This record gives sequence, C-alpha cells and structure tokens, in this order.
Amino acid sequence: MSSLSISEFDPAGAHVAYLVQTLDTQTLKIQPIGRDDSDQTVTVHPFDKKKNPKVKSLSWVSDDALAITFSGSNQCQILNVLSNEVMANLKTDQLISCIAVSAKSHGKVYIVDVNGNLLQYQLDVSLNGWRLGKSYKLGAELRSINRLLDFNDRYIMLFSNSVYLFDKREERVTDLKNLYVSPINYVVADGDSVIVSAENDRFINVLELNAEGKIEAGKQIFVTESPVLTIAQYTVSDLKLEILVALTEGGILEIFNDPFTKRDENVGNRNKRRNRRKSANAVQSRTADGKVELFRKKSEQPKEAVPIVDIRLNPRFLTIAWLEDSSYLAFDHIEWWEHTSDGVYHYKITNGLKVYRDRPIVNVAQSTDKYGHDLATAKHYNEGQAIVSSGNNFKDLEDGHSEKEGREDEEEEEEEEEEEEDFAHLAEKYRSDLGEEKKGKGRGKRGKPQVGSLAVVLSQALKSNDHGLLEMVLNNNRDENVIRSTVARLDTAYVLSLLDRLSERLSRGKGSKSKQLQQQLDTWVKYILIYHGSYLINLPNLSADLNLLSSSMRMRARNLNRLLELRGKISVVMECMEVKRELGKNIAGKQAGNEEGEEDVEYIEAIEDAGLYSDDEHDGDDDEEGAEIMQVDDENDDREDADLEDEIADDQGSDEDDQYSDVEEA
Amino acid sequence: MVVAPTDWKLGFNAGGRLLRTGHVITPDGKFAIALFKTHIKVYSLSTRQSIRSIKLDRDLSDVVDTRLSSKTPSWLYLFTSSNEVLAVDWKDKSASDPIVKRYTLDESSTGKYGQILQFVKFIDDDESDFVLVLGRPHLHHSVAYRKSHSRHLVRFSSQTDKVEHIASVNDVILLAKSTDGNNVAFVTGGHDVYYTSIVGAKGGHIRATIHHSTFPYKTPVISVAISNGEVPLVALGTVSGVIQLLYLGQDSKKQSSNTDQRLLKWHVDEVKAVEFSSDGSYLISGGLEKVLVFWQLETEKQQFLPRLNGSICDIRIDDRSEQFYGISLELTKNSDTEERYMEYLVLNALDLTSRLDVNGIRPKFSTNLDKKLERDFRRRINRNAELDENDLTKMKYDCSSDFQIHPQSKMMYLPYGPRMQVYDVVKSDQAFVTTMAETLQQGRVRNEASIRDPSVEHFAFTIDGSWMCTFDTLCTPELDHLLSEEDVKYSLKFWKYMENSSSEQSRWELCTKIIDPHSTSVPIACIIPAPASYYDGIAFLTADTKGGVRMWRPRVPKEMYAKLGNKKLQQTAWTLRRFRNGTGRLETSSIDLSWSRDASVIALGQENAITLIDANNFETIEDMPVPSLADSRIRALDIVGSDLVVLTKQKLIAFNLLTYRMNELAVRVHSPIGARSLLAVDNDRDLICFCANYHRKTGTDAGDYSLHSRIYVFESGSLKPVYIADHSTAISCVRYSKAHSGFILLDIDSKVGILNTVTSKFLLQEEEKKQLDKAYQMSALLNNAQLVAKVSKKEKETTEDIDDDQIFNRKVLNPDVFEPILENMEGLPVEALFDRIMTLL
Repeated sequence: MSSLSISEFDPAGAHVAYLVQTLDTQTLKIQPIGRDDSDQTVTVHPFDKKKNPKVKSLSWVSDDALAITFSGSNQCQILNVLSNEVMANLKTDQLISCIAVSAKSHGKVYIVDVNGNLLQYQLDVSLNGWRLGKSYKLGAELRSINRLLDFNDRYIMLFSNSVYLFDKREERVTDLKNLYVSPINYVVADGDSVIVSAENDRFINVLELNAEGKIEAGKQIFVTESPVLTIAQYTVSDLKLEILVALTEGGILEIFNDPFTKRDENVGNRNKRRNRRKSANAVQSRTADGKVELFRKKSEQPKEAVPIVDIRLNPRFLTIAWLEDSSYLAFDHIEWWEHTSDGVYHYKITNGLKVYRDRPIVNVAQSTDKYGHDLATAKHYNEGQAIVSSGNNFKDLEDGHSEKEGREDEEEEEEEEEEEEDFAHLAEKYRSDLGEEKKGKGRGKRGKPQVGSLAVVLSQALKSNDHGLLEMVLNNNRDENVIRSTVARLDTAYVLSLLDRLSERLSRGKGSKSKQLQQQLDTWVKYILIYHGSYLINLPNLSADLNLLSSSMRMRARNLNRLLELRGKISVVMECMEVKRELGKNIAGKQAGNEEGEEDVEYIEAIEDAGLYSDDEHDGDDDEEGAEIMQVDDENDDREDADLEDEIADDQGSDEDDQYSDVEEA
Repeated sequence: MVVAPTDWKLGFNAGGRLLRTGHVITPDGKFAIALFKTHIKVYSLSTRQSIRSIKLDRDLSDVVDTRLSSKTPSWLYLFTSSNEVLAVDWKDKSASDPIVKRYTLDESSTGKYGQILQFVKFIDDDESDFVLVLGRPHLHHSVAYRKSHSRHLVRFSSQTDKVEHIASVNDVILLAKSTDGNNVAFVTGGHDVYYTSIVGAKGGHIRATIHHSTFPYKTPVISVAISNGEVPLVALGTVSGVIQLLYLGQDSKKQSSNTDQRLLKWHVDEVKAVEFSSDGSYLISGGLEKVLVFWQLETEKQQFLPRLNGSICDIRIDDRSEQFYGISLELTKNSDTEERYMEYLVLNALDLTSRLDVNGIRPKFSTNLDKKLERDFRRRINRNAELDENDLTKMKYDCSSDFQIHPQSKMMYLPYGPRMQVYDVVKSDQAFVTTMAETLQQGRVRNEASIRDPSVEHFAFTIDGSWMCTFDTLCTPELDHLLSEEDVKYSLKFWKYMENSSSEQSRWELCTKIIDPHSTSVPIACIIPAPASYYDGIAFLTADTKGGVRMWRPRVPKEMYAKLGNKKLQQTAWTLRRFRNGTGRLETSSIDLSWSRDASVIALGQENAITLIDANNFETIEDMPVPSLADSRIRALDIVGSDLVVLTKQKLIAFNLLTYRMNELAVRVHSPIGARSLLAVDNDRDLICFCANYHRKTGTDAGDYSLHSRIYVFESGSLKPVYIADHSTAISCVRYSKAHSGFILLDIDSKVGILNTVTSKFLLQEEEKKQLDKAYQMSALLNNAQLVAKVSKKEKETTEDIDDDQIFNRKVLNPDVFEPILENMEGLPVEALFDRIMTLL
C-alpha cells in the first residue's frame, strides 16, 4: 500500500500537491515538478491530527492557493503555497461532500454539501475572503455527488454513479444519464465533451452535450486493461494531435493516441465490424495504443516495477510522477509526440515504453544500506549459511602421491574378490542357512549354544547392501564368541564397509536407547581391529576411510579428561570430609579423655597439632590426586598425538570407552 | 631483474591516527573537520568522503581545543597546550601555508596560570579577543585519578597580545562550557560546583561572577555539562552511572536544599560524556554501554541510540550547527594492553543516522606502544646512558603489527579483535569494518567486561584474492571457576569475496568454519596461501604450534546444485586435504611456513629447525635434509626463487636449495618476536625487504633518543642491498603488494607508506590530491545543484533509452542478407552495388 493518498497538479503544471501518510498523521507536500526549476524546495504542511482527521480532496484555486477539504468536516481551508499558511477558512452549514474550482471564471468555487445543496462561492482577489454567491437546492436524490464540473456558463455537471446536468439559469437538474455501477472517480473536460472514468471500472466514457441540452454518450469507449485511477487528455490543435492517457491500477499508463478519430484504417477488421454493427453510428471501443511502465535499474532481474502515481500532460511532455522513499515524488517527462525530419508530427508512444529510473542521487549519502544497516557500523556476516566442520574431519583427505593409481588397484582387487564371492555364493548361502538352522536348534535345546559364525550372512548383507539383514546380524548377536569368530572369518574385502556401517551406527546412536547395543557395537569394532588391523594399516588412505569412526570415537572420548579431573576433585573433597570427620571423632574422644583425667595438659595444642596434621593430610592427598590426574592427562595426550592408525588398532580405545561409561554411571 | 637504486621511491602519505578531541562540524552543516596526528582532514557530510587533507608541519597531538571562526568561515582556530593559537584555512587549497595566523601567549604573562586548557568564547564578532581557560594539565586521561588544580579564566587579546585575568577557581577537577560559550562550570575536588556567566563587550570589562553551589556527593563525578541560558542547568555524570542534574542560579541562598537536584538513572557504569542540547531541553549522555541516551528533561522520557562502535567519551554540539552531533568513540576496551583508538561519528540529530564516521588506521600492535615507549624513555633517563652520537641501539621490545593487502581491491586489511578494518590506502580512508567472528555489539559494563571477544589472530588471502582464511581464538571468560575455564576455542574460517562495483559494498561471505582445525587445544601459528601453480592458488596451508601442517582446499560443489543453477545452494566447503602431524610435545610460537613457487616444496621452520616437506605426499624430504642453518629461533622463512631466506633472532641468511650452499646474503640482525612482520618478499622480482628499527641519539640530553628505522631491499643472492631508505620512526609491518607493485609499510604512528619503483612520491601525492579533488567536486556537485544534476541525468537517461533501442536493433549480417544485392548483377556499375550495400546496412 502506497503511503501517498492524493496528489494534484496545479493549473500551470509547475507544482504538485500531494498527501503522504507519515506515521499517524497526514502531511501535505508541495513540490515543484522541476523541469527547469533548480531549487527543490518542498513545502511541507503537516495537519493536526485532532482538528483535521483526514484530508478528502485537494484542489488548486490558483497558482499559489490550494483548497483542502476534510472528510467529516464542514471546513475548507485555503492554503497559500508560497507562505505555507492557511489564508482562509471556509465553513459551510453542512458537511462538504465535494468541491470544484471553476476553470471558466477565476476564483469561483462550487461546493456540494451532504444535504444536496450546491453552493457557489466567490473568492476575493486576494483569496482572503469568501463570498457566498448563490445557493441552489439540488434535491434529495443528489446527495451522493462526489465530483462536479463547471462545464460552461450555463451548465454544471454533477457526478455520482450517474451524471446529472444542472442548469444554472433554470436552477434545476435538466438531464441525467446512468453510466457506471460504481461512483465516478475522475472527470476531464475536453472542449464540448467530458471524459469520465469510475472506480474499479475499466471503461472510459465520453459524454457530449447536444444542442438540446441533453447528455449524449460519445462514440468512443476506451477500454483499459485494469481499472482506471486517473485520466489526462491534451489536444494540440495546431498540429492536430490529441492524446488520452489513463493511469490504471498497478501504476501503469495506457496511452490512446488520437482518441476521437475513428479508426477505420484497420481494413482487415472492417468487414467483420460492419457485419456486426448495423449502423455506422455504433459505439466504437478502443484499447490502448501503448503502455508506459516504470522500472528500477535495467540490469536487475527480475525488474522491480515502480508504480506511477500521477500524470500530467502539457503540449509537449507527458509528466509522470512516482514516489521515492515513500516520502516525496520524483518526476519524469516523456515526449508524447515528435517532429521527424520529414515534417510530419508523429505520436511517439505507439507501443510499450519501459522507463528505467534508478533511485535518485540524493541517496548516495544515504547513511544506511539497503538492509537498513548504518554505514558507520561494522558489517556483519551470516554464520547460519556456513558449513561448520571440525579439524578432525578427514573425509576429504587426499591420498599420497600415487593416490589415483592406488585407488584403482584397490578397486580392481575388490572386484576380483567379488567375482570369486559370486562363485561361492550359492553354496555358502546354503551352508549359512543350515548353520542358522543349526544354531536355532542349539538354542532350542537349552544346552550351551554352539559357537558358530555369521560370516556368511554378514558378507551377504554387506555385499547386497541389505540393511535389514545387517541389522539382524548386528543386533541379535550378544555372544562375544560369535562376534569374534564371525569377524575372524570375515573376508577382508568387507572389513571396510562393515566398519563404515558400524561407525555410522555408533555415531548415530549417541543418545541411544540401549547401552547394551552400543557396547555390542564396540565389541564388533574391537574384534575387527584385532583381526583385520594388519589389513587396515595397509590401506592407502585410511584416515579418510575411517573418518567417521575416528570422529565418533573422539566425540565419545572427548570429555574423559574433564570427567577424570572432576572425579579427582570430588575424591579430594570426599577425603577431606573423611579426615575432618575422623578428626572430629578424635577430638571428641580426647575431650572425653581429658575430662576423665589429665586436666593439666592443655589441649589447645592438640587441636593445633590436629589442624596441622589435617592440613598435611589434605595437601598430601591433593598432590596424590593431582599426580594421578597428571598421569591420566599424559596418557591421554599421548593417545591424541599418536597416529590415528595406532589409535584405532589399539584396543585401548574400547577399554577407555568402558572406563568412560563407568564414570558416567558414577 | 636489476633495479637501479635511484628508481625506488618511498612515500608515507596515507594513514594516520585520529586524535581524541577537537573535531568540528562547519556551521553550514556541510563539512566536518577531523584532526589527525599529522594532518587535518575535511570531510563532506553529504558524500561521506574526505575532500581535503591539510598537512601542517607539526605534530597536532598537543591541540587541546578547536573552534571554527564565525567571521571567516574558512578559518579553524587550533589551541595548543604549548600556548599557541593557530588559525588554519581549511578551504583554500592554493595557499602555500595553511596556517594563516599564529598567536603565542606570552610566557611572562601566562607563567603563573599554566597552559591553555580550553577555549570558551570570542568576546565579540571581531574574533580578536579570546576567553580561555588556563591551568596546569591533568596527567591522567582517566578522571578518577586526577589531581585537582587551579583553573583561570583569562581574556587574551590578539591585538595587544595581553593576557587579562578574569576569574579563578581553585581545586578544580572538571570543567565544561555551555554550547554557546556563555556559561562555564567547574567541579572541584571538594565536591562543589562553581559556575559563571561571561558577559562583556569588546572594549569593556568582562564580568564573570563565580557562583557557588553544592551537591550531595556520593560517587566520583567524571563528566560535566552546563546548559545555555541565564539560569543554567548542570549535569554531572558519575562513576556509578547516575546523572545528577542541578538547577543553578534559582536561589543562590538556598543552595543547600536538595530540591533543586534531580537524578537521571539509566546508565549502569561510568557516564563518560554529557552534553545539553543548545535549547537546553535535552540532555545527551553516553558511557561504556555504547548507547547514546537522550533525556527529554521536561518529561524525563528517554530515547536511545544503541550499538555504537565504541564507548562514548565525548559529545560535542555546536550552536551554529545544532542539527548534527559530533561524538567521539573509544573503540578499544578500556584495557592497558591495547592501543586506544578513536572514532569520530557525526550523527544527524533528526533521525539519528550517521552522517559521517572518521577513523584512523588501527593496527593492533603486539604491545601497548604508548606505555612501552614512555617506560623506555624514562628508563633511559634514569640510567643516564651515555652513548656515542653514532651509536645505534637496538629496540628492546616488539612493535610489530599485522596487515595484509587484498590483491583484488588493493585495500589494506587490519585485524583488531573480532573485526577487520578495511582501509583504502589510496583514498587514505577507512572503507569499511567487517565482523569476522561472532561478537556482541553491546558495550560491556562492570563484570561483563571480563567476557572477552574472540580475536582474529592470523589471516591470509589467496593469490587472486577471491578467498580469505582467518583464524580466531575465543577465550572462556573467568566468570565462575569452571573446569572449562582455561579452554580456548579455535576456529578457522574460509570466506569468499563477493565483489561489488563499489568497493564499500563488497563483502566477505563465510563459507566454511572449521572448529578446532588442528584438533583440540592446538592453536594455529601461521597461515599461508598456496602458490598460483597449485590448483590456481586456491588452497591454504596452516601450521600449528606443535609443528603440524595441514592443507585445506575447497570441495567442488555438488553437481546436483550446479544443475539446478541455484547459486545460493552452491555452498563451497573447504576440507582438510593433507596433513602432517607435528612432533607432539614441543609447543612453540616460532613457526613459519613457506611454499615454493612451483608448489613442490614446503619449508617448515620450527624453533630453530627447518624441515623441507614434499608438497605431494606431505612427507619430509629425507634424502637431502637442510643443514642446520639457524643458530637461534627462526622468526621468518621464505622461499625466494630457489633460495631459502631465513630470518632468525640473530641473523638474516639465504641458502640456495639447488646448489646446497649458503648465499652471499648473511647479515647479523637483531629481530624481535614479531619480526615476521618486518620481512616481506616480492616474488615477482625475487626481492626481500627487511626493516630494522633502532634508537638514535637526537639531542644532547641523555634521554634524547628517538626511534628510527632503516628499510633495506635485498636480492637474495647478494649482500649489497638494492636500496636503503630511512624513516623517522619505527616500522611495525611491511608487506608486499602485487597490486601496488611494491612494498607497503606501516609505522608505529599508523602512517602507511608505499615503497616501489613505479610511482614516485610526487605521483603519490598527486594521486591523493586527485582523489580529494574528485571527492570535493562530487560533494560540491551534490551540495549546489542536486536537482540540476538530477534533471540532466534524467534527460540523459531518457535519450539513452532510445539510443539503447537503436543500438540493440542492430542488424545481423550474414551471407543471406547480401543475397538480394547480388541478384541481377549484370550490367550493374560498382557504385550502384555499393549503394545497395549501404542501404542494406
């Protein structure tokens, strides 16, 4: 929603008055159109919110006086534009419903009030005083007049949904004609005819007054693509040029060149039209010849359209106005005809015209950028979009010098192995089925389960990428012996993929449901490292391959140091308490002893001794604990600094995990 | 390439340090004048650009107050602590000497009063008589430690050169004048407020009766302001954050009652600056919170302007240009370890947007130089060290700083704390400041001050400038005694340069952040970019303090995103590609890396061992180990052509890696810890630039030593320097810039110099002048004929539209077009054929 509500060009076309909503008040601004005018003084006239709630209309009385009416008010203010002062205040008996300044005679203002009175006022030459000229009673049905036009010496046209013709001499409405469903919103007089448009209506009608003083609809209807807001019309009679411009909703101009000449040139359509219409007098509808649209920067895609808010025509230029910064108007002047070298005057806007206007230079010194960020402050960055990773992520680690060759060899080998596997596949599968059966039987027999191996099922699962099967193997296997034998028999080709799967599960199951399951997975990893460590070490790019495993292990072991430290501290505190308690007992005991006998001995020293003793004890403990922690720290450092291979090959890792889990439980 | 020594030119033209106070806004509201240590700069408020730089042949750091003349708008009066009054013409650039007038207060007459402390007002429009405040200076910046001294209001007549005493107040800690200069307030050590109104005419006697008033003292007062008018208000800003407002002069007999006193409470910590608006209806205050507070005194409503760049330490309002507020901000935290840097901010009083921000260059020195220099100076005096006049002494401390030149934009990047200042060397102005690590913009008060900001420790650009890699550390605040207290968070960040037509709008976009890049609690000690021969130079090498080396490269964005063509999704991730583990235990900060130009060898210097690493497999080249070159800690390491240049604590040597022999270049030097910054290598011409800082005796007194530096340019093969230059102060950092085709130097006065063979000093000045002229024209254009410019631009654009259409409607020429011409060729004269072609075209 634009903050601009009403705008009006002055009769000379040099200034424009417009209303801008600033916070909760309306501000009137008067700005020169600024073709040759170099000063850009904008007169600003804020309205008192309480006194004058809402401006209803603006109309220029003369070049420097502006009549302002307010909705729900019986006042009309005349503002001197030059001094920015209210010169006169016109009060009527009833609320003003519309106002019109006579274009024919100077200083004559017509007002229609809500009671249906048409009042004619004459302004003083100085524009300081009002004089009620005449008052006519219009009648009750003419209360909803929202436009009026001083048509000629005799007639005034009043517009609501319909148009009424008021005869000044007879002082009554002589004719009426229904035109639109919605109220008429814009009226332009053009010699003997009047061009009208209505709210939410795409049709522009032409009205003429015939010799008998009756309103006749013109021969032309102009159809725009969207509802009309404002129309402007201009005739250069010397050159026989005429233009009609309609500003439509969406801020786009539609241009009708030479609107009142009948277009019979379209030969192709002529016959059809004849057929359809019986008389030559039939109303002809026309669509626009051209459009004018306004955009920001040419280069930007998609283009940012800027709505045009007002237009004005003069003999040479079409002036368009649009709002900059939602606070002031900017203008552009487009020639609407041109004089070509062959001596013919042409309409210049004959098809779509796209006007590109950047934000004006005034904004160079704008202190904020387009995100409303003050230039003086530091720029910020967005961390939300960045990829966050850890220094221990070895996933993309490149292989040594012969990286590619090595890889390829590896793959080839794997393929070979896979082929071999294929040969043995069926047989093994069969055997494995048997094995499972056997196992099931073994269990069913309630005796000690036979230690078998799941190597076949496992390799099958890994080979066919069967997650369900793998899950089954990993989950339903609690016997460490089975795990060990399975891993021992597993072909090395599958070791890496199994490790991958395992580490996936390990890293996923951080807040896992069952600790047992985690421990089981640890067991798997442990045995893989034990049995296949030698194979793994020979892999060319192990760090990258086992990245997931190592990082998840690291994550799990991360807080170990700190927890150990904490344990140390807690045990120090516990010991201290213990010592104090014992001391307390001792003292109590001694006191008891003292009371019994040796009263000569002062026990204060004993306390002192005890205090010393306790201090010693405390210190000693502390040291011990400290040493312990240090040791653990060192161990841990070693572990961290050692090569990754070692770390993984070492089964200390899982041991530590056990330790870790112990601590957690504590 | 042999370069004749005469070709080299060194010019120190850009940079400079902004002074604490004295910046003014011109009465017409179009310009602001900022004082730097060595020059004065004029900025246009409409374009935010510097339009003139006035060089005075003196150090301006003794300027205590400034005033723009009302009589001659182009005059700026400077009042110095050496009792001089200088009038500088800031508009006329043709004048040979910008100082148009110079008055000196007579020693005999001022001797008993002390030095100039503040300018109060002119007696008349003639501006020949000044009212000044004289007294002994406070030694401490911080008000809390100040000793009180007597203050004397005097009148100095420039025509008679006479100093006439007006009034005196004893035991003064703080003083302030009102914005129109008619009222002056003094706060004494005894917690009394004295104030006076100065009334007087040109010839006549000046009346200034001192009124006395008391206030209930609770906490030390550290800032004061007095309003205009006959019944002035006095605002006292205290250490605890409460502002006391005193209504003076209402009833001088009833002083003791507390009814005419009000308290304004919002600040939580020191209120460092207060000032009244010129009509007295507003009080503006600011302090450590980095929030400017507007108090409407009638209603006590507050309005805030938060998140300024630094704590507010001065607010200046001039009656003649009251639509602007001039605010001095102290950017660095109030700590002893860092330099104090100022920013001058001009705010529009109407909408509180910034109109101008003036910044000096802000290098982060490894030590607090001001303090160190002073201590060094004192020590020398104490020791009364007698040295020959020619004797050069080494500098005992490290004054190095860090900066890099961005190859694309030619801007200078200076890290300070979590931010990066980007400085335009040519325009000699700050381009922008960008945040490089997550930090809060709020000011920290009281115990919040112990929360530390992350700080960018190392950074580097790729050779083409399209990527930047920064390493920042964040210490855990010592708020509670947590186990994590000593933890330091390290992160390595990779930034992509988003170029924009105007350099101010270019920005860096964070692409990847690596937490703990060299595993936990191992900081990075060095970052270098890859040479251009290695994946187009899009790679970074980092080395940690334990000697581990890691190589990072961007991962190719996923093909899927590329297909979609959605650029936003195409996020580049930098990943670890190769690594080499360090030696483990030994932690040292003397680590340096260098990557040979052909990308085959990486040299790693650790403590005093040099290791050559094969860049292909990251393994040590063991067949040919480098002999033990360094006898002491390695400061810097560089591969120049086929030579390995090593700067150790004690020497600078070059070793040829191909012939396996020492080069001729072997110099004994003393290099401080940060000497990495003092050595730069020009890889295009294989030149080495080394800067040596030293003390030199300047005067006869024992303590008269000043810092000097000598800049050497060597070729790696020869001992004889290609070029030697001297500079009058110590150099803190030198870098090679391909874009400037020379070395960029930064000295401890924050001046930037360019040493190259292309642009002469004269040309440099010309360049700067041109820039300024351009900026001035720009602002003049804007100021004078905004609309004319606009309309003409519009007209131009309208015509352009049509032109464009014509241009775009160009015909496509291909053989088919020419076919009709070639029809009916028989009997056609050549001219006719030509015509045909012409009509077609």
